[in-house]
Amino acid sequence: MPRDVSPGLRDALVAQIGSLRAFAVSLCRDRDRADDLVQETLFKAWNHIDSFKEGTNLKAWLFTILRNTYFSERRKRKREVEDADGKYAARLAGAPEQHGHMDMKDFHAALTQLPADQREALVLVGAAGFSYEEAAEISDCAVGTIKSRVNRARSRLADMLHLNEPEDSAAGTPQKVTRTA
Amino acid sequence: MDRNDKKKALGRMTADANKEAGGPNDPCAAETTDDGMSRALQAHIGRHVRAMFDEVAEEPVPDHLLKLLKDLDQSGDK
Repeated sequence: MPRDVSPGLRDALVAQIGSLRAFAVSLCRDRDRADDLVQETLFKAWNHIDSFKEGTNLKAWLFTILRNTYFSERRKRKREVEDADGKYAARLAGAPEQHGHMDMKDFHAALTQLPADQREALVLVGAAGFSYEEAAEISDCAVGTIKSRVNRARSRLADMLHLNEPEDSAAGTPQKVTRTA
Repeated sequence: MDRNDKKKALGRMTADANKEAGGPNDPCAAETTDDGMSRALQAHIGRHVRAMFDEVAEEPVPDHLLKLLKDLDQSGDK
């Protein structure tokens, strides 16, 4: 049962809700499920606050709880989810609620189609502000694994969005640039 | 997310993009990463990932989540 959560720690928890929601949305690609996930994360964090060492990285601790909650649920209903993934991504691609540029909508759709581990790595390092080392700890894998997931995520996005045509790049771009076969 | 985090993320994703300090004629200035992607493209992807993340992160926190913490706070008193 929870012990006292100091007001300072409580405020620190509240301050992370925005980032937790963004991470949750990026993982499960569904707003309602994302908020359920954040709710569960906050609940678990509160009840296990004793295992959090004050002065250590609260944000990383919370992100770890959230992603573990997400992946353990996902494992439980893996077949169901995998079946839904493609259809869901297709629906998202055409979702009218996305405001902003067309460009952004395409990007969103492409991001949803990345394998979960790659998307996670890209978001942790590229958007949530974690170092490769912190991301590796959150995802419980090696630093090299995070790096390669981020690289693979980026090149898959580039492929899906046809971003890596040499013609489009600045003059002098080496031919090393990968082209989809 | 606080501003500092954002800066860190920005730094990391564009750090690769900024390494070509020697300019295009410097043979040492790599314009692609070891996996063959141009730094400009990496930075472009990084900007999009951050924009999507921030869009959600900066939304107001839904009331039911704040209420949950308040309820937990009170249940701890007993």
